[in-house]
Amino acid sequence: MNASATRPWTPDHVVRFAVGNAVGLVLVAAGWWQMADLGVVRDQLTWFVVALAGLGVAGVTNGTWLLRGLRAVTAARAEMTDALASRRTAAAPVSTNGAGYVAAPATARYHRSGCALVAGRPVEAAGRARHEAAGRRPCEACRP
Amino acid sequence: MNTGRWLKNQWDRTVAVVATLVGGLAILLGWLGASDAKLTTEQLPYLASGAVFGLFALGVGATLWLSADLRDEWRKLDEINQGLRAERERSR
Repeated sequence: MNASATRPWTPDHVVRFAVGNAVGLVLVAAGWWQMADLGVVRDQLTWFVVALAGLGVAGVTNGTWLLRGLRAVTAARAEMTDALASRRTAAAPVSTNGAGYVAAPATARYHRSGCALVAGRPVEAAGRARHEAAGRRPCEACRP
Repeated sequence: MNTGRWLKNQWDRTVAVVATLVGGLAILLGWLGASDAKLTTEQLPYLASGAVFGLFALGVGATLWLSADLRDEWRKLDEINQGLRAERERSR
């Protein structure tokens, strides 16, 4: 995976973030400005809705911004986990006595013998069927 | 590190703190203004300038602070990934 492709925010995202919040601020200010000049509650409420719409625009903009950042962090974390798992597999495979896959006691996932997530932990080796019968599912990092 | 450089490097956290303070102040002033006003038509504008603008500023502050945390985490992960990629290239 190319890290620069998953960079949290490109200049394009920064522009969208700034424009979205600016539009939100303008709507809030316009709503307030118009409300201050009116003497009827019903008319004021119309402009209050405009101000609330501004708050909504900013909320969606900020939520999208954070979601983008979260996705980039998740992708970088997955890349690191994959790289560590493959490095462990190549460097120091744990013996499974031909039983296939390993799992630490009382855990919910089974792994390849070299998976970084079980490195240094006490593990029991068994075949896929036995792990799955025990209610375990495959590790998302080493994908046994 | 001097304060000016820290503020420049951490511009998003700086803006986040300022926006949060502005938001809190706007809500406080809106509440004070609305509590002094007698008519509903006088109170409603304080709802827009105080509550709505205050929430807007608090939202911007929270977003910038969280995005600074995400950026820091991404940078650390990217450094680790670059090291792992370099190690993989060397071992080929």
